[in-house]
Amino acid sequence: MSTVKGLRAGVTAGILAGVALMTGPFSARVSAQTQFSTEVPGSILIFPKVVNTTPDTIIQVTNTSNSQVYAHCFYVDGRSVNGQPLWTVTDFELALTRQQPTHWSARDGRAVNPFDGTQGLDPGLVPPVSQGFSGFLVCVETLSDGTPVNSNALKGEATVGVIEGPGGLNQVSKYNAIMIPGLQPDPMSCPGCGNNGDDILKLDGVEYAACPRDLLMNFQAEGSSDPAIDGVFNAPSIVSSNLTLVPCGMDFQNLIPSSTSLAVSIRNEFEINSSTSSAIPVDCWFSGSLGQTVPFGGSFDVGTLQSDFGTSILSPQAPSDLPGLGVINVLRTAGDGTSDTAASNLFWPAGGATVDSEIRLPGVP
Amino acid sequence: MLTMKKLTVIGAGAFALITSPMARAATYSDAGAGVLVYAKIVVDDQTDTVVQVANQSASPTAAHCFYVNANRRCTNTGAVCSGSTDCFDASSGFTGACLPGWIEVNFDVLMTPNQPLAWSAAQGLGFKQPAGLFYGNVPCPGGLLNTCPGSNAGTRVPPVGETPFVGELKCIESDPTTRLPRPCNTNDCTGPGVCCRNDLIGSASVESLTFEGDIDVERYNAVGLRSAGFNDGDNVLTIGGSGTGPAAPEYQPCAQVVVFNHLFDGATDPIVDTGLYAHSTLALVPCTEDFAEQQVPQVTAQFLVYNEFEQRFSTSRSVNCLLDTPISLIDTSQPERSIFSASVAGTVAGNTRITGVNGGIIGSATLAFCPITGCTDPASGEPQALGAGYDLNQFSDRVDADIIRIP
Repeated sequence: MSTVKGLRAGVTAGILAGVALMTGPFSARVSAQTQFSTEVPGSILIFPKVVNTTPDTIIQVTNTSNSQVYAHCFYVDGRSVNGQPLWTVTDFELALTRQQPTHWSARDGRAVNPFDGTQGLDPGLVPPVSQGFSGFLVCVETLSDGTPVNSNALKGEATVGVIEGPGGLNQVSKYNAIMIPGLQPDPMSCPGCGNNGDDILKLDGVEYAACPRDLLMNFQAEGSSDPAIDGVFNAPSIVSSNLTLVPCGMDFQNLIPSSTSLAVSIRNEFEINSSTSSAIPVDCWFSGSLGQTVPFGGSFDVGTLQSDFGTSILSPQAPSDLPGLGVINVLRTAGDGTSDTAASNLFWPAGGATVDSEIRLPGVP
Repeated sequence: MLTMKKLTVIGAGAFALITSPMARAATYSDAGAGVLVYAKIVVDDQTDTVVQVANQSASPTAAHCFYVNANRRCTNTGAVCSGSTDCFDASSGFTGACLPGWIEVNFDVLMTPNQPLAWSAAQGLGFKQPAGLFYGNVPCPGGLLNTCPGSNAGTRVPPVGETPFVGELKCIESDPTTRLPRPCNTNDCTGPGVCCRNDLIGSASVESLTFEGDIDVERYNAVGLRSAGFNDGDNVLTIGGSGTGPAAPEYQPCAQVVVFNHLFDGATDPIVDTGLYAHSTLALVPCTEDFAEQQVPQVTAQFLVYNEFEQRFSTSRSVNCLLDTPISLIDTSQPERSIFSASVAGTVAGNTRITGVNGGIIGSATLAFCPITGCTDPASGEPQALGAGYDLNQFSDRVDADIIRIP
């Protein structure tokens, strides 16, 4: 055998051996990004807290790829009337050029009008939400025809704020959108895996990442003092937190409000465990102060907690319940009555359990 | 000589190398980690930072932490400065240079299972008896007055070394005795082998008293570096890379690109038009740090800035230990001429991709709304901003390794 033939045969054999290795027990079925994140671009964005009450919400969405990207977005009004969730869904579409950032106000929306004074390529007609809107926003990455796709190009942030100027109420909070990666498995090791382009987005670890089962929340006890504010001689300060939650799974196709119940276990700085007397009912959307008697029963109060800081785990109450996704917004009020808010994303346990769920999109007529 | 056997091995290796999936990028601000990086700790007469850290596991753990004082100092007087004009020495008549500094103080934090802890950077966390709800005390001091099943004995967090203070905090999950990361060889904590732990989660709130008497709180989650499934327990923490043996990666890599969404400076407040304008600040620290040799890390950060018209600008800046700056001062000393200025960029929102050239970068950001006179009252020098902190995004992994060397 000549040297050239030998080289060719050897490399071929090597490639075949490599294929065998890659499809064997050491092969990786899924792409690099397999988990929900608040810092890595994904194919589904969830903004758990979007309001048009006294605060407004500024939404920022960016295409982090070098290709044109489209998104199908859904505003969901999470308010309840007589205990029944409204579940009013308004959808719209975005088109973003490569690396394009965009923004809009939930209150005002954004028109497609190059002469309207809002500079930049208008990403599409974004409707304004109604006055008093309190809910969330979901954006799904698609192709131009609306077919879901797993390019993981989207990232987003939301700024929730009210600014009245000097002497007035001034509070600004910002959080990162929750980004769900679409999975891109190796087709040789998992044929048929990945996004099948239908309107049922399976959050199952095969099409998209599965929902983390548990949420970790670090918090400061309700009614406790803030050491930094007291330290700059503006005592006595008071801290209060607002928790916003949405179920990890939605049905926009049949317009059935998602609901779940989350059990809460709490631990204070003295390693003392406790829990809330009832689970958190998340009917489409939940937003409430940790100091509310229902459902928290005073468990987060500084007198009950017996320490200034604590940590808690929010988990589905029943095996059939969906996990929750959310943000926490902390209000700090100083001794002179001035205040400010600061939002932050919640945590997920490292290597924690996951729960399969789905997001159903309305079909293209 | 190339034999069939050697060629087969070469081919297999080449194929596996080409097609092997990259490790998941990189840093985590939303899940437990083995190293936490708080990119911005600020203490001055009007500002303090509340640091929160929690042990998310059912086992006790410890963290060996490092405050890095990145105050700039005058070369002639050693005083803290913000510019060379602060370094005029009347006695000699000479003006020194204002150079970035690097002073490191380390301490230990021992946590019981699932325990949260918090402290003010200005006050620290002591070890006074009796424990209770008094600021500055560990909750579980151990001994006769301890009310906890576990103990924080050994914990002592000093107040930051001086006021004013600008710097970072880094906490490394470690063995409380050796003060080094625990040796481990797997991330699978359910099987055989010694489990690598990622138990730490944290956040920081930078809280200021503004000129008008308002309070301003800017909160961000600490950025975490998670274990790569191996640690030899020495004092060199290898972050990413593809080394073998002692140079094998011990933590997942830092991001190749940090993605920073922001409003351009000077953009009209899009929430309510009250005459306030957007101003953002960016805090960046290098991924590589040498606490043992006290080497001041320096990384060059390259910025690609996209506006809403998809138009692109670029600039670069050195990150010496810590870069904490308004974004419109990254590329110029005249903010209105900066590529980060709305008047130059032409739109409200921007997307900036930051790449570290000779090292990885970790950071956090702040969005503030300030009057036309700026974010500092011209008369008093006190802050007059209304801000919110947030975490940066990331894209892809660094190929080269970063290291953290600890004493």
